[in-house]
Amino acid sequence: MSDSDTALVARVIANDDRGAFELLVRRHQSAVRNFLRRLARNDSERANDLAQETFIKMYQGLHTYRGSARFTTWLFRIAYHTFLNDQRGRHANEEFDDDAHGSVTDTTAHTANALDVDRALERLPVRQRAVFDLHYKKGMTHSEIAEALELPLGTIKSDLVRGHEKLKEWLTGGTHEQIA
Amino acid sequence: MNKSPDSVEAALRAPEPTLADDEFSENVLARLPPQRRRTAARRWTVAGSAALGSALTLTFAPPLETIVGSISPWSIPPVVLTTAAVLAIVALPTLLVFYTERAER
Repeated sequence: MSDSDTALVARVIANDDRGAFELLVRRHQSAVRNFLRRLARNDSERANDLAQETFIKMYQGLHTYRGSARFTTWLFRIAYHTFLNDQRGRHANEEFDDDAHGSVTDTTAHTANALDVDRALERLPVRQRAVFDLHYKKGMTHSEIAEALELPLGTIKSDLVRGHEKLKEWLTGGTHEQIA
Repeated sequence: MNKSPDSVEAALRAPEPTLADDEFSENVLARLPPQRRRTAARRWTVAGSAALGSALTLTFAPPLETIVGSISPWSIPPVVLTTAAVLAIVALPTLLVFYTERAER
């Protein structure tokens, strides 16, 4: 039986157990890298750099983890803030480049597939991308997402509703409006 | 020819790919600061040594007090000297550990 995240965290805090830390990284690296890829609009290299930074911050801040929230909630909070800090350093206002990413509705194959939806998700603002990823890909509840992103519960719910409306509009043949 | 809302929902819920580690974990570990020494083990060693030292001091204190009392040029009661010795045995290693750990942070 594998150790729980909390048990591994305790080992790292008590004895600076690098083996336990490595287990935590191996266990969560894929989810964190996928999450950051989503936020970074599929820029794998940037996502990997930010994921490394996330785990370094996790190590440095492990003594502040109280265990009241799920470990992954705490971890994704670090990842999200790491991305936002990086984003501030790049552009004050990131604009979506339609030419670089292509049109969502001009694909020739119209069967619903994850690729089309992934491309549509890239058009959402960063916060909604985070909310969608945590909800649909990580299976987190609204409350857990609110805790992870440090946002009000109402904001999470409205982000999901509005994001859904946009996605359905783009993917089911509605108007192709530009995201503000 | 467009997608139905249900198919959008299904696609959203499609599991994401599992990314191979590909040395990612090794790269993270390589960026960590040098490993701390085993703090807990060191604390227990110091505490045990201090306890043993105190026990030895208390065991051999009465004959030592007699000797110290006979050769001491001051009129300090031998029991004060013994108490000071016990406190030093406990305090010195504790201070040593405290300052060492603070320097390592």
